[in-house]
Amino acid sequence: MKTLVLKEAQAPYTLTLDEAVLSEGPVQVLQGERVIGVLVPPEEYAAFRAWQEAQWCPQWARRDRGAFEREATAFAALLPELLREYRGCVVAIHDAQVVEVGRPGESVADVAGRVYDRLGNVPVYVQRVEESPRVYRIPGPRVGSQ
Amino acid sequence: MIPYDRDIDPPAPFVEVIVQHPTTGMQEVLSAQLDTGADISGIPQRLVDRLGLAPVRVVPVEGYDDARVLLSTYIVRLEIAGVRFRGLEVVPIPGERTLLGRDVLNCLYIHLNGPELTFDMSSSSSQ
Repeated sequence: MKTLVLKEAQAPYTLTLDEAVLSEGPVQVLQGERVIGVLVPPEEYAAFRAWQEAQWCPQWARRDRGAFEREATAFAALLPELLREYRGCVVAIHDAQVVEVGRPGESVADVAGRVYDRLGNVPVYVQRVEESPRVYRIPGPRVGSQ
Repeated sequence: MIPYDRDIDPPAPFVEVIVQHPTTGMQEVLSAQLDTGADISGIPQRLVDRLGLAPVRVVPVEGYDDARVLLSTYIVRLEIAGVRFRGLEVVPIPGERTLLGRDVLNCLYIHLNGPELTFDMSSSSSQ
């Protein structure tokens, strides 16, 4: 990482920065020997903010995230059996069991809504029973990973 | 007539939407871009966190470069142009953008007047 040193002239501080230097990677800003900041190109900062947003979540959400992942794992384990019984339908998994089965043509949102009405805001995994999940396309913006 | 957002280049149609948690009723008003290329609508990850939305499933999503990522989906209530979607499945997208995909747009009558940079949107063909 490059290092830039702030020099106290009169006031305020001045910083001479060549744009080409910034393109080589993050640049440390020093005041004396203390690092007081790091400069990065705007695109890199935007990517960092997106990552930071994806990382941040309230503590209770983290707790529920674990429960959600257990329900997702249960769905994967049950899938061969579900394919025999409910192929093409949407099912809801709670406590590793099927708690709701959608009627033909119903969406994930329809079935999730019924589960929320009946059981409240509980961790649940709602998925259509199919061998390969549908791939959604959003060509416009950059989509991030989780 | 709703004017296009001229702050982006080229200007594009945006509309005000209300996004609401399906059970707590917490909500936020957002400006959403109409995106007929998107299979599914998207809301900012920040809003997912603020409303405390719970994930319902994980789906593969492809961007413009065919890069595929796995995203959790969330159920929200959405109100747009007087139409209420009691349950709408959305994905989180980076930044502050909100996108209305064809899952929403195909329920509405939309007339784009490109040369005048305005559009109309309604739930009925007679309006």
